Amino acid sequence: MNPVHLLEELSNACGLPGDEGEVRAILRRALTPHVDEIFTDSIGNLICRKGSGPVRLMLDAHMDEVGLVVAGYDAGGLLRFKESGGIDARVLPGRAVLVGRAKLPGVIGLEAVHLTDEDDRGRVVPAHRLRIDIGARSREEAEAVAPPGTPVYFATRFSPAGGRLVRGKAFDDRIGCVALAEALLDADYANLTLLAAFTVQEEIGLRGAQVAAYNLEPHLALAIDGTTAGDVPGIEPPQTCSHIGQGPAISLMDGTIITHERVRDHLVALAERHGIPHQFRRLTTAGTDAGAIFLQRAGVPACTFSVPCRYIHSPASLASLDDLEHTVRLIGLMARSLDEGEFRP
Amino acid sequence: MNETLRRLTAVYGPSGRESAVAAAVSELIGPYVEAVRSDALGNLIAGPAAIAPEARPLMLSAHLDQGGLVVTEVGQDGRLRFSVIGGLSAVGLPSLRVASARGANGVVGVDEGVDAKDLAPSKMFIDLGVAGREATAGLADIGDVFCLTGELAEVGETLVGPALDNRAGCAVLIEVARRLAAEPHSDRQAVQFVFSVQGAVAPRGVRTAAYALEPGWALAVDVTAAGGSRNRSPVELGKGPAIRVKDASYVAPGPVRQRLEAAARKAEVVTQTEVLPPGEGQNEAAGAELARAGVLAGMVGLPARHLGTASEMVHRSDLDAAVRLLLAVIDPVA
Repeated sequence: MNPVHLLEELSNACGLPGDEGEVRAILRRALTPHVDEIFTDSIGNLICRKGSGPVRLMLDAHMDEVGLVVAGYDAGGLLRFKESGGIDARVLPGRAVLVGRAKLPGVIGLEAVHLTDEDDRGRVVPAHRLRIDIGARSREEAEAVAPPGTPVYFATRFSPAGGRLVRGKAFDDRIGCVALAEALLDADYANLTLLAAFTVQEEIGLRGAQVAAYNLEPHLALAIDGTTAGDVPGIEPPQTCSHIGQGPAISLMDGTIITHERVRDHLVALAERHGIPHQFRRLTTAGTDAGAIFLQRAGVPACTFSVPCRYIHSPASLASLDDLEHTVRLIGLMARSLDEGEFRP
Repeated sequence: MNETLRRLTAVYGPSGRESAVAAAVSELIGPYVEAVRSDALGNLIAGPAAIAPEARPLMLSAHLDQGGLVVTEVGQDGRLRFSVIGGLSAVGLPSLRVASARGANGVVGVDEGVDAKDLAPSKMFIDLGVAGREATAGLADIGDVFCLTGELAEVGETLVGPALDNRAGCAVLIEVARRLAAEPHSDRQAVQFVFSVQGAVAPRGVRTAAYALEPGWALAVDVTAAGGSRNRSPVELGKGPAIRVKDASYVAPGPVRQRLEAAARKAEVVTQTEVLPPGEGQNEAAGAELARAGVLAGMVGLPARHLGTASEMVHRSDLDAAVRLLLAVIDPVA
């Protein structure tokens, strides 16, 4: 299994919160030959098990991406929409999108420049004033091909971006899914039950992870996400949050969890011992599945570390394959450390 | 309780790094309970060594942690940039003294040219008194958490110092444990004391503790903002513990109010009733309430002023009254 090919397939696949089937199918096909058990749980999480040792290690990455949902129609056949997950309205005007499972091409219409006045050109157009144009000529025609609730995805296709960089949509968190898949392939631990949970509905409230963690009852959990890298000119740390090329960004704290101190310290120690580049995620806002996992049942020690991605929650992100590789290595080191009894949850 | 509080407010313990406070509480409460243990998240649980599954204990909880400042960047200039953990008041931070787990001492500074009305943590820094990033090596790094420092002082009938949120709640529970141990009753209901983690941020540790202990009732003891400085609040210092009726996360069930009010009458404790404005407030009871098949949960509030600063203020009579109230809840027949 080539991780770049898997990332390409997953990045191009479409799956909004609650509608992750296409992503799940790709992962199921890729992983079934390599795991001891694979199943979809009641809410749609894809769960893979490798090994049956006494220590239960849960790895988590979410399958859903942010996108739009058709919410209404204008008389002329333009679609009104709502966001599913957090999207900055500034990234929307003029975007090419794909509408529905049929992936009908559409455009988020931007008022022609010669019709705007000076003042309007500087302002952010709120999402409720934007429209998706699929070329329908009437409300009835639009509704027939894109009924209310139809998902709308960014139309970005995956591509290399020079050096070790790749570009595509939904790196948050398809890149985390690839990290988990790679970790499963490498897995061979006598004392662990390795449980990889590819979760649903993270972007709208960490929902799938609650169900997965409650069911799986892990002793320890690592959530692998894509986090924002703001390492561009004009932004200074800590606002940069994380930097491309500096390795997995280990979370100190976000809006949903203060990561488990012992787990976090051990991750850093392992990275340092083995010369793996790593950094701390500098922002303390937003949330990841770890925030849902650690409060399940009687509590689970949990930590998140993330692949830095520029421009997450926008049509196209940039990430480094080196950062992905180092993230996979760090997962493996933590798993081995647990397996050998060096770290006890 | 003064000495307990003096000791507890001097211990470092921000949200997520409560082990030192847990150890101090463990030492203080140890003589009065059968067993003390820690759970997966670091909650400290103190009580009987074994409880019959159908016994459904009374859980009394107080969060261990205090607010802190987590370092997110060490500037080239040696200034430590930070984010706030918990309820520390941004406008109250400048010029406060802070210290980290590894013993670095600093003062909260403000970037040049910042207007008073624009004060925000992003425009502040921790000043270690050094020049340049190299000088900070070994002193401080990203991920370190600094806490407010200061000695507990007696100011009239009040106690003033940092971290009274929620070492005051912890002290109340330790005192309750001491009084229960001094007068044992063979048919007293089982009481489990939980000193929970991350409560200064949200009801987190208390939730998993309630799952594990399966209490029938859960009462959280925590400070609550009183009027008299900056805040408008009908709750006042020195007028007794506050029974939380409603906040943005919680509505007190009828049986909880009745049990607390009956206990107050029995113990001749005057209480205050606390109803927060729409959309405001959270409390640990809400964390316990939805555990498993549900728990009757309530909050006993200790009125406090100047919360989120190094000089939080509580009234000694409110703490004593809270102890007597809880004892009357546990032993309703005098």
